Amino acid sequence: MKKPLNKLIYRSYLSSSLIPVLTVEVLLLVLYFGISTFITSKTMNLLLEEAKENLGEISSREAQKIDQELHEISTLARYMQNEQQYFFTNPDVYILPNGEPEFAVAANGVFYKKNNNGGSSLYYSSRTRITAKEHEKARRTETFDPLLKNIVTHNPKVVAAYFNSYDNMNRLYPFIPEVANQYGEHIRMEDFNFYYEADASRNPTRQPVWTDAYLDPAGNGWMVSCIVPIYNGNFLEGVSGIDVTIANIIDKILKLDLPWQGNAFLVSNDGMIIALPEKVENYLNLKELKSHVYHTHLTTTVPKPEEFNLLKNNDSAIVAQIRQLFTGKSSLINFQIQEQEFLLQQEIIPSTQWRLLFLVDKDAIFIPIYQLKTLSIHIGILVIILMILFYLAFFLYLVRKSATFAEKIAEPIVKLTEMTSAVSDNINGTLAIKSLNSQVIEVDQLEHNFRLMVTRLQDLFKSLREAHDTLEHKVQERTEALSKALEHLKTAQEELVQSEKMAALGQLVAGIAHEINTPLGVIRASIDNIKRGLNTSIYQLPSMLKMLPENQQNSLFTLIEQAMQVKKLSTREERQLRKTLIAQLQTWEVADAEQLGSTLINMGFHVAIEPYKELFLNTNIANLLKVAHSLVRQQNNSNNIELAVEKASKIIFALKTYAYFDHKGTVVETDIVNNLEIVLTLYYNQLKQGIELIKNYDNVPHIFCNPDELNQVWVNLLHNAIHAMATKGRLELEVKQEGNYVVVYITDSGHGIPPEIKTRIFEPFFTTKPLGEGNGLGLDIVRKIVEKHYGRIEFTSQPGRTTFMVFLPITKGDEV
Amino acid sequence: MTKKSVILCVDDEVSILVSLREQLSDYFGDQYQYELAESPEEAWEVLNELQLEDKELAIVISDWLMPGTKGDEFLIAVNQKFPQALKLMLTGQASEEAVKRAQIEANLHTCLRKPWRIKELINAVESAIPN
Repeated sequence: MKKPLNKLIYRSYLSSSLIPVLTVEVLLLVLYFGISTFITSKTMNLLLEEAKENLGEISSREAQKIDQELHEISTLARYMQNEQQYFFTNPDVYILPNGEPEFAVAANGVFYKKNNNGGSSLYYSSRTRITAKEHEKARRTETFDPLLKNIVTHNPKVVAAYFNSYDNMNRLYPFIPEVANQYGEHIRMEDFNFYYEADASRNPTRQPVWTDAYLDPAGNGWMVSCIVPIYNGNFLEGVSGIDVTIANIIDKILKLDLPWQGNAFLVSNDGMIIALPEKVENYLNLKELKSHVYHTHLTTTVPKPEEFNLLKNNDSAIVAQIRQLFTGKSSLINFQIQEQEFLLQQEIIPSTQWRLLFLVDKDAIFIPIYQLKTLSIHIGILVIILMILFYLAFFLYLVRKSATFAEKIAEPIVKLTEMTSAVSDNINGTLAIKSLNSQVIEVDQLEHNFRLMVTRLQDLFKSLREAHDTLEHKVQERTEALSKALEHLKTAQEELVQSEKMAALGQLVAGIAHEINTPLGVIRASIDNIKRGLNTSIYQLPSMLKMLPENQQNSLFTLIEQAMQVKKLSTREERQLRKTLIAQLQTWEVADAEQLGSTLINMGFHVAIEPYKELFLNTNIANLLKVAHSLVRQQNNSNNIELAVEKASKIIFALKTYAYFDHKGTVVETDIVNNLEIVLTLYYNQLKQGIELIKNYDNVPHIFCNPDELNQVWVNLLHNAIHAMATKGRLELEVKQEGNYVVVYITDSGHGIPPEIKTRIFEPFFTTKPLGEGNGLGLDIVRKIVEKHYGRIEFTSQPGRTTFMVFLPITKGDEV
Repeated sequence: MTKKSVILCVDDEVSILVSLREQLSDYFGDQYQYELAESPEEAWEVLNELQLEDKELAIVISDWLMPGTKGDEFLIAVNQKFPQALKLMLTGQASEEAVKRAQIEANLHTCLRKPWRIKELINAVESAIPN
């Protein structure tokens, strides 16, 4: 489907930049929320496990604390028990700590203590007939008051301490002013739990006992009591007790600083709630009973209503969970009230068998997580909002950008389209091409190409017309140009000839450097040796000669003379001779024969040593030879220098001759053999590496020629020959006179010239050498030079034997 | 026969060899046995003899441009058979490639240029000999 350019660009912008980025961003968001949720749930589990563990520790600690506090009260109860039992067994031992009490009988027949003397109140139920015995008992039990008072005043948890007798007497601190009205007329102690729970049948061990919660007849509201039986022998005189109100338990005992805003409450073994803090009240939908407004006198135990028994709760789910906790092995359960999740931990308080329950709202545990979760959600939402804003801005930007971009591309193309239409109508060269001003390289290139094409087309038409008009003129011009080119070619050819010559020269120079440096090395070393040798000989010779017998002196000088007679031996021969000398010296048992033999050879002594036997048996022979050597080496080194100088001069002479350029091309009388030998000198170092040189020169007449140019011929032919043999083989040089010609034969044992190129080797620029080693002009130059001398060059070739023959006519000077 | 270490000089120019021997023996005296060879082929003959006599090759000093085998090739071959021997080149002219090649493949210690100074020669030999 074809679409406008800007729409295409707009689409491609959207799909290539917006969509992938959006996809990636959405994926990142999903990933973010996913990871956040995953981490939250992981952390919640972790926190929960940690909370459970901590809760166990905390609850056990708190239960111990509470147990201790209750135990303290039990201990106080034991004190009471001890004191009071002592009183009953020794009734005559009594005190009246607050003076004589005043008793009266109330209107309802209750016998009671009228005056508050700082001690406890006293009540005798109207059920009991008051005789002198009862009166005396009421009086004497004043003895109990200091302890009762102490227990109450020194223990903030305790609200009251009392003694109830079997005959319905009640002594209670703190003092109750209207005690007759408070209790009513005929209370019977056996009817109340704070009495009967400690009687002989229920408490045979006579230990302190904790009651369940009950409503206090003394008007202190709801409470529990720690009670102890008071025996006189086996007779139960009464039951004493210490009252702790539920309010006090809640405020003073259960007020624990628990983590996670947890709460503790107490439940009796049968499920009855003993003390319930306010917070837990709300969860269980109960209102704890603390204070009470008394409308009637209590004549029997008033326990807490059934609804306070968790095992009898209306909500069967709660009952089931509590039962599971009470009977199950685990001290911790997940507890659910309606929809809310809690942890419920129980600890049994040993001294009362009450269950201390800890209730922790799971939400409280998870509060930090919930805060984090909320934060992460907020961040997520913020990112989404920012992304939406960004994409709105980005989208607007893209729309604008793509429009500009499309225009930028489309506009020059449209212009170009218009112009192409114009070109076909107007090819004659008047069409002006407007600039497209595009910033796109390709479009710019298109414009450039178009411009070029139009210009070419215009030029083409123009030149076609012109060519048509001026063909004749053109031909003339071309001819002129051709002749000029020909001239250039000639110059170039001359330059090439010169460069070939220089190339050959360059190769020569490298080899010649070696040839010159070698004699120079010898010269320097020899001079050095002479200097050092001179010292030894001059200073040591005279003294040594003095000590030597005359015949040995002569012998020594003869030896020196013989050594000085230059007779070059090869190193191989020298080695052989050294061995012989050493062997001979060893048979004479001369000390250090090896060293002496070497010295003899080093000084150039190359003849038999038998005549010198006596000399060699001289003990000082080593030093004598050393001095002799120093003398001989003066000459040996001088000879070496002479030879080296000769060698170097020869090479330099050859170079000088070779480098002599006669630009005028003057013809001089020349000895061809000499001419050839000079070039040969220059090639000596290449030849000696493995080429056997055979010379066969006849006596030929001098000819008139240009020796410089002929040097070129020999250089090229020798160079080719050496190259063909790869520096190993046999090179034969022959100079002969044949008729009116001096003929030079140069024969090599190289690989020969293959038949297929035999006809081409004299062509200029034809070469078999690798690129850069030669320009293929060598043989062309050779032929030209030979032809310039009215001679000719020929060759025969087969593998292993190739001969070039240069024929030079024997002429007189004026003939050339 | 005492077993001295050997210094072997190889050059196609006998006067070079003789001069070398004189310089070395002046300086090192009878510490070494000095052997001369005019070509690598002859040098191998000497080396074979030395092996038969169980003598240690301490130093080889070779020219580069010689008939037949070139100095670098010769030293590479020597290095293969006598890796512990010190290799020196003494030459009037050698291509840079040949010297480099000898340095890499023949463990060439120094390349001395002709004409050389005795100090250079002695320094080169001493710098590679522990004592």
